[in-house]
Amino acid sequence: MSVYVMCLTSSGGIPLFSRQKGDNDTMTFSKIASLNGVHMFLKSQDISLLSTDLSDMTVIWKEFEQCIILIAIASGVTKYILDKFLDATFGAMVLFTGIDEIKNSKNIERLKKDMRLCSSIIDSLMDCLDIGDKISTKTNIVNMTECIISSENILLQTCLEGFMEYLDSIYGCVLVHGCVAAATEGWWSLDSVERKLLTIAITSESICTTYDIPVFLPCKSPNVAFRLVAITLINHVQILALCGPNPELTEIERFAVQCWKSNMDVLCTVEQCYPRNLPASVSLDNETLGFLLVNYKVEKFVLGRNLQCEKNRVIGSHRLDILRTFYHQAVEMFGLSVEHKENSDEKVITNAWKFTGAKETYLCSEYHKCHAVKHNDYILCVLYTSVVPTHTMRLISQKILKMIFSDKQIYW
Amino acid sequence: MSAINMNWLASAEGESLVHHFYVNSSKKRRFYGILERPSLPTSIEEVTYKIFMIGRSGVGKTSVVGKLAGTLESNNYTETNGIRKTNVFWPVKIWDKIVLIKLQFWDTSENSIKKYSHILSACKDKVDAMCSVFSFDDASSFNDIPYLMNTMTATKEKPANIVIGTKFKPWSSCVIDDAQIKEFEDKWKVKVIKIDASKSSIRSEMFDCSYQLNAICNILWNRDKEFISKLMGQS
Repeated sequence: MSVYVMCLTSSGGIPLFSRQKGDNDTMTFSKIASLNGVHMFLKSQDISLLSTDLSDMTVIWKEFEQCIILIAIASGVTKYILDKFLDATFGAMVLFTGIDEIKNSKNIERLKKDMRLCSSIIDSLMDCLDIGDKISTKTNIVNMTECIISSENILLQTCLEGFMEYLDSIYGCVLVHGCVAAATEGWWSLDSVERKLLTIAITSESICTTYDIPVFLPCKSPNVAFRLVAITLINHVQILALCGPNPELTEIERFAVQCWKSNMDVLCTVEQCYPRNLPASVSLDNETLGFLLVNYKVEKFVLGRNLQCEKNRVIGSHRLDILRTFYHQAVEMFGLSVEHKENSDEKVITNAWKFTGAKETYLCSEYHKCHAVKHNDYILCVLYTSVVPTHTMRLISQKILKMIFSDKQIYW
Repeated sequence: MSAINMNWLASAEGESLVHHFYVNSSKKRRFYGILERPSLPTSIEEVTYKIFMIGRSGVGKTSVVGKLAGTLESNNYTETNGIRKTNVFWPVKIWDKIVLIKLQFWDTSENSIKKYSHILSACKDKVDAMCSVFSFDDASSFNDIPYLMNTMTATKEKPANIVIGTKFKPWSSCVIDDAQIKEFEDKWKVKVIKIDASKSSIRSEMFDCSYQLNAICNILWNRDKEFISKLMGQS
């Protein structure tokens, strides 16, 4: 299975880049040209071509700002996610280059060169897609922010807010192994694409102590660059902040040391929390392999594995990517599809009774079982071993939900 | 004779400290955040230097830093965007004293410098050394070095000069030959630090770059020494 993404200019059909992933042939220039040609022809007839289904692949086209065409081809990915993927891909293009440069570039070769800067981000976005070709070390979801729940999150939050006040910025977060442990309110007010891109911009780079990268925010500030400053406090724990021209990098570092030095043990505890991603106070049964907790309103998630049963199991049974597949194919389809539509169609009569999506759904396969349950803005999906009787899944899931939401220490 | 003992790491005393720099029992080097440092006895003094990496785009500035930090994973080339600062802890024996040197490598790219004005000034501020990088594959990157060194000597901190040549092939001929290197070294009074193209190694990665790191520390140490003796002369 595989995924391709291609980028062309709308006006001239000049390819700017093309990336791919999976065990597949490279996309030839003639194929790219014909895919673009179909779209262009229909556009001249006032028809907008959105997508098409092949026997094993889906193709989608999307035009951005009347100047860029993105085409994606993938197998095993829903159209909804593919669409989000293209939004994120365009966001990645804006992130390092700025919208102005993309829209009004006179020099196409230079634009191509600028686009190369974001190729590692686009590759990471492709890693988030569900093409099921590998047992990846980390499962990520393209349209949501990855988080970690630890008992120390509240402390981190307080410390982060103090730090951000000094920087005179409202956008900041603490990343533990690439997962958000605490973030300012401003950070959550960013578009989910922006949040995703900012974290990927740091995590897709090779490790270093401090980054200071000029970034444009695709939705909030596509024309004026901010500085994305990331500081590694201890190995695997970083703080990210968006700030203006001041203060200087060395100043920021000095203050970070002052601000976080007294909380070394807290940082170490949070770091240890990975990859379970859940405080020790919430215990998971032996039959539970992992879980995915989603807040679909805020667009964030926690994906955790149960380490307890890891020892006596073959590696690979912990297929947390199954939870992602289950979420995209079943939960988003049956549980949330109504809400997705509602957003786009504002004329829904509010008083009339309407179907608000399934409250629970499950899936059984040879080795695994999955169960999802909706609770307010949250959806909990749990991955079970196949020995769990189907009817007890919901009981266990309910129990986990109760534990998570009754614990006062849990904050995310 | 250099003040820094170049083979100290392989001595019994050096070996006894090396494991503090590894991840647990593996031979992979540990990476430290700004709040951490290797768990050496506190009696060992820590000295910090700031080094600014310069050189043509594509010569391998980022790879050099990755290699010296022990974090180099892939050889995929992407242009550096913005500033990347990497701290590398390195223990050295200077005369009879062990010192923990913290090298702060500031790495950026020509395009970032051109596009955003704050980057160059941030990198040049209070810098201790300029590290000019060229590639043994690319003669023009070597010819750039004198020019780079000249522009940077105007900096008020009078940074030391470090010159690193990447993609060196010890057993076959390079585009830049030994005579050229010799001539350059004599003229500028700096020793070119070579980094091999091939990855060798049965030894742990830390021993592979010990020569290069010791050489860098030596240059910095000599600059400090000169600076102090000048101060003494004035007073």
